[in-house]
Amino acid sequence: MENNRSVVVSTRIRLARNVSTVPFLQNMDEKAARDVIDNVYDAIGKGYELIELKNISAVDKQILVEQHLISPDLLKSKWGALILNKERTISIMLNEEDHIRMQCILPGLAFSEAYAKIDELDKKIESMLKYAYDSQFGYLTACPTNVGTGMRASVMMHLPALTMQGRMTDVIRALSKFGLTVRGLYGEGSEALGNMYQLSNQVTLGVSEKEIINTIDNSALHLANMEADTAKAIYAKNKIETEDRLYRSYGIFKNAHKLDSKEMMSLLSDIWLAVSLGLLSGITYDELYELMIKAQPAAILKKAGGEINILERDYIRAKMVREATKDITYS
Amino acid sequence: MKCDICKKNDATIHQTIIVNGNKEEMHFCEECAQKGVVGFNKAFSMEDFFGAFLGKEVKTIEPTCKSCGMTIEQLKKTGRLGCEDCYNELRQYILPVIQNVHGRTTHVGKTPYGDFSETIEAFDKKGPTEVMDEAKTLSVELKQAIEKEDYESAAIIRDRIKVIKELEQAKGE
Ligand SMILES: [Zn+2]
Ligand SMILES: [Zn+2]
Repeated sequence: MENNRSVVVSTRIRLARNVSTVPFLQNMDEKAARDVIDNVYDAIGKGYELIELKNISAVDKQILVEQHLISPDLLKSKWGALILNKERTISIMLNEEDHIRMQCILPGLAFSEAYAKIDELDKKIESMLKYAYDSQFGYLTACPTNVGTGMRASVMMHLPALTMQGRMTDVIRALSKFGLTVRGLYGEGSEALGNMYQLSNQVTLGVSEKEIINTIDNSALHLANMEADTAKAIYAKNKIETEDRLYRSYGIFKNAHKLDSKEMMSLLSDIWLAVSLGLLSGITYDELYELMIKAQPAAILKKAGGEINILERDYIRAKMVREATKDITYS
Repeated sequence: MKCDICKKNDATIHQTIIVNGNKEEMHFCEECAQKGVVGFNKAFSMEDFFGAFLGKEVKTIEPTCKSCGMTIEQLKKTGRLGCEDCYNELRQYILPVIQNVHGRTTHVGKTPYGDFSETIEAFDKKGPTEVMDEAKTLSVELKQAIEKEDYESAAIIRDRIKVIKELEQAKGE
């Protein structure tokens, strides 16, 4: 298990649901939107925090996007709201494209645990609210691409070696045969910055939740092994070049006083690879991922506590990186 | 009822058009519809099509969701439906889109009445013992009940299968 942690960053399952007899978002009024928020919040019980997006700053909204707790689409909704558990492993977007989009994110490859959590939450809400459902199309969603299970299962993976070898195009093509799509760190259309890729199921109708999860779980495991083997093979074949490149990246990471987010991402990917090859130690994959999210633009803006220019932002980012990586040592 | 276009296949899709001020019902089969006559994939406007087909000037009445007023034209623009009833009201137009996206048209998995897929799956895989024969019959009945949307019977059958499963497990231990 520990083995694939160098490749598998996190697991995510999302369910889309709509409340029966309430029109979908584009035809909704304020009263209906209010009811969705109140009813769902009442249904799930204690231990959750409710955040109405209209009450928080633009920077705070952007940070929620960077943390993958909400989608950029929620920012477009007039009545968008978010419910979070204390650990922030469960987040429920309200009045996004669908009335309810609940998700569970867990570190590593953890589909059965994530599904158990989200299924429990779903049942809890369903016991209080009637969902829009059709015996042919399953759970009904605003967009026909999400009907059926309404489920999107995804896994975030760090794939530097396969990318380096130019094999991602083939990998993506192969995965599409199993109904899986591949996106970058921040979803649709986003670049695979830092060699981070998100695998997710495309089809939601006519396949059961279990089948969807099995397919993506097996593919992720297979891909993780492929990545680890490829990384080892590259290192074994080009020892000096690999060490030179990764240690140079470490040198920059440790000493830079100005880092833009693109450079940070690519260096961080090298450090990650160096740790997985046993060249560096003293930092965990979770810490590296946390750094990646904390060093995104909005998070830095928040840390600065006011208006800053790009130079100042890149300076703060470099400082953060130096601090976060100070315990890294040569193995 | 036969398709107005090919006059061969059974018509499953119905469209109201206005010819010289009079309403007329048109009927066609899936195949002709898929060829680009109606719904999302049409190559030219419905008016043009019916005009050429009938040799007269025609107007179509756009299919609309009775609950929220959503039309097919709007749906094509936004890709989003207006309310849950749209799926029922506009089913024949949404069906090809769903078939196209998902490659299938019927939901399996979790339902508001429970998740039956696992039960069916489990029994389809078991070997032909006496107990399993009974379970097999039950799993067929379960499938039929679900198809008929008789969820009450489905729940009862599912519970019976569960008992058999437990008995079998107890025997094996
Ligand atoms: Zn025909
Ligand atoms: Zn409607």
